[in-house]
Amino acid sequence: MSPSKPKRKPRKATAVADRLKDQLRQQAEELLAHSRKVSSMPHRGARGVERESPLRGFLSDHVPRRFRVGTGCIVSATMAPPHQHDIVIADAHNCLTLLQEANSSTFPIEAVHSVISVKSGPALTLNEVAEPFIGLRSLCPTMGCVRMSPAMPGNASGRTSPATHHLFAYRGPKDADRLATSVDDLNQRSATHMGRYPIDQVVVLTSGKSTIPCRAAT
Amino acid sequence: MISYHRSNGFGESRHYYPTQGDAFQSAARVALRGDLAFAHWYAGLINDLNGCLAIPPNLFEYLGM
Repeated sequence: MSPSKPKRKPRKATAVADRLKDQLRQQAEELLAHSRKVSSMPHRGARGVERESPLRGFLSDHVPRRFRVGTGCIVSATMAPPHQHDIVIADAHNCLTLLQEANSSTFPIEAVHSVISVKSGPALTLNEVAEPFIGLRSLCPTMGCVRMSPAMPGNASGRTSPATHHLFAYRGPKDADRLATSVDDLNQRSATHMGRYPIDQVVVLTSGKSTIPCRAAT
Repeated sequence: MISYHRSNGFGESRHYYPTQGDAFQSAARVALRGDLAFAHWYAGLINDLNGCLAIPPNLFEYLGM
């Protein structure tokens, strides 16, 4: 009689979660390390471009293929605010791009789902971040028309929902609660089209002057 | 990670489309502190994108015709 094989331990579901968390922790640390590396660049504009590109690259590699991740201006059929947005996540399959160049694009508001403003911090000038976002909220998407499938004949018309607006900061102030209050105050003062706020979410990789992300506190 | 939350009858959920005057919505607050803030934000972004559908514009309107 052959000896029975030792039973393999069933893998815990949490192992996947732990690995994914580690992977994303590592990704955040890589973004921070890159930000620290380019902080020695003397030109502010060049530093800004270099800080945006790793996050844009990460998102471009990971979002579903029906989206494209780019940078540039966003316009409507009647308005063209003069702002350049750091990261724009737009529809890749159904909507056109109005202008596509090597380093910048012009997106119609109907194609845009998310806009991310990237800041180095730690001092975050919220008014400066909010101004282009307020401009975006004033853009009204046109009524589009989608031809339905043969199984569902007819046309459906509607508008693309307003994009979500994110502030991504490498470093932020030490007092995160105060920052949250400031964001809320600014949003209450500046709510625009359909009552949507200029800033929907804020993520800060590390606080104060610390260069190592702090361990979980909650 | 700072975001809004909304009561959905079963507790609170993250709210991707906060609007002014929503009685069930909390004020912006720190949703998560620590080294998982990026993971939390990224998951929320992807979750939101998964529910997005673009309605293509009428190009004639852009051409003013």
